[in-house]
Amino acid sequence: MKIHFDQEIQNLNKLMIAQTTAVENAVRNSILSLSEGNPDLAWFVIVGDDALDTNEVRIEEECLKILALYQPVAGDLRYIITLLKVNAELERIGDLAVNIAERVMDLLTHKENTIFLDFSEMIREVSSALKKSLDSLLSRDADLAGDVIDNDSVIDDLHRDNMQQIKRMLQRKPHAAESILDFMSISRNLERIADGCTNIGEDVIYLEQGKIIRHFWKKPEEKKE
Amino acid sequence: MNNSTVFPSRGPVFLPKKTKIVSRIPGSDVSALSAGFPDLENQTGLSGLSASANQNSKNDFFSHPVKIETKDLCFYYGKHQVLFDNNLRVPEKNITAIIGPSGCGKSTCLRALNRIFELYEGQHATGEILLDHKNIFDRDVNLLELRRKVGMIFQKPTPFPMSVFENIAYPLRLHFRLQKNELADRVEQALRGVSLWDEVKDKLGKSGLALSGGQQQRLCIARAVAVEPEVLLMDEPTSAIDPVVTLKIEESLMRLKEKYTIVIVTHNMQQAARISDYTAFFHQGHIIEHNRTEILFTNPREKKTEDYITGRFG
Repeated sequence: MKIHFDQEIQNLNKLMIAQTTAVENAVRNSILSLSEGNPDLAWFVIVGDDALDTNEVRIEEECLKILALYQPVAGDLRYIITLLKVNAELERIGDLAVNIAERVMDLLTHKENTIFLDFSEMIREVSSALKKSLDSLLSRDADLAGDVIDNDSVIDDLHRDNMQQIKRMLQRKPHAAESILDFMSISRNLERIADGCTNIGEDVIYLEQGKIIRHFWKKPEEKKE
Repeated sequence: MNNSTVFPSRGPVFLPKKTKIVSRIPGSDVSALSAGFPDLENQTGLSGLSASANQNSKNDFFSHPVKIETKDLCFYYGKHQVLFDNNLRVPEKNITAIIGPSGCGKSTCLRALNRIFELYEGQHATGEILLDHKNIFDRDVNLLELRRKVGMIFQKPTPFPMSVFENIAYPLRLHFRLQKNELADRVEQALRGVSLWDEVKDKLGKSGLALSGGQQQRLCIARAVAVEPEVLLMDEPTSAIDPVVTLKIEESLMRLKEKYTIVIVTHNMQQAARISDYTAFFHQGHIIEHNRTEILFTNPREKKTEDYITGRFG
């Protein structure tokens, strides 16, 4: 009985590893399409989303099957529940990557070439958050997950800065409003990807420690106060 | 404008620091970070949530009055010791499940709680068992009264070889002086308590042994409940019964716990998870873990408990 269960978990792990890699690639390609102005990469992300959706449904079906057939408890139960939640989160992150790619495609249709916004730091932070959150899941590393959660506010601040810049741009260059709004959407989607990474980090902490910390997290420095 | 995204100029004006895509194999390419992870238990001070589960469980035990408490309970079959310094606290008007592998001492523990083991030669216990803070091993304890207060139901139904009515009326007559109509009321009440009345009300005069296995077991529970015990001990009461009747018995237990303290030994972990408020895990005569059921089945403290309930034992 246990051997069957362990085999099911191994199969599920394989699906999950494939999905995390696919989502990470989708985000990377959407970011590259933005920085390179590459419509092919953007298109690649958009058409690739169907595969992510199919994987998501398959992983969910596998989780539900395991719950129904094996009634897991303790660490096994937390693992399946975590995978169910992370699976949904990954699909959302994939959708956000598609949103970014669509904005890039839209930007490419605009004529004016004088608009720019510096996303470099935000891109670095979001890429790092995604990588760390997925690593923390697959290596079951609660410390790494905690780091992702701690760092979320940095990305929130960067998004806020972008919004300020976008406001100023809109005042200065109202004729480029469409492009500026695309930038706004990109910034928002990057920030949401980071939120997704934070949620994954929270799920990993539940997996490892059995604690739901969603609304009670404090940064180490806040805790010291 | 260094390091900026200038858009939509063609060509790679800005490339983010390249994200290395690594194979997603557990443990690969994970940089351990030095940032300390906050101590959540101290930080949140949650109560009633799964966070800081261990703290909660401690507080929770104190929030319920304790009906039975064993203190350093040891049990021996002759010279063979099967329980070792057990300290178990059974909260009042709750269901406490005892789980563990065969031979771990869970049934033995149950049999000690109303001193039924004394019927057998060569068995003895040391330590204390406090029922409402009174040691049941004290010399002034009335055994008949103890066993009325602490009723027991066994794995195999054990109806008396008499009518359905008499099965319940007999112990009532033993413990109480009742008028005929009072007796009939109490019998009906007891049978209703285990959802058996509608099934047997037309055959109260028939032998209890003529009932089906599930009905017999519910008759035994009704018999135990009729004398208004304070504690019900159940030793795998549904192991020989089909799932439908098992469900009926479980529903009865959920109702009965409003009035009685129930301790149930079961091999069926789903059953323990379904119906009990607290679960104790026994292993080789020791209590390995005793906690609120939802915590024990979602986030056990001890590795042995985790291994047992997830089927990885041994």
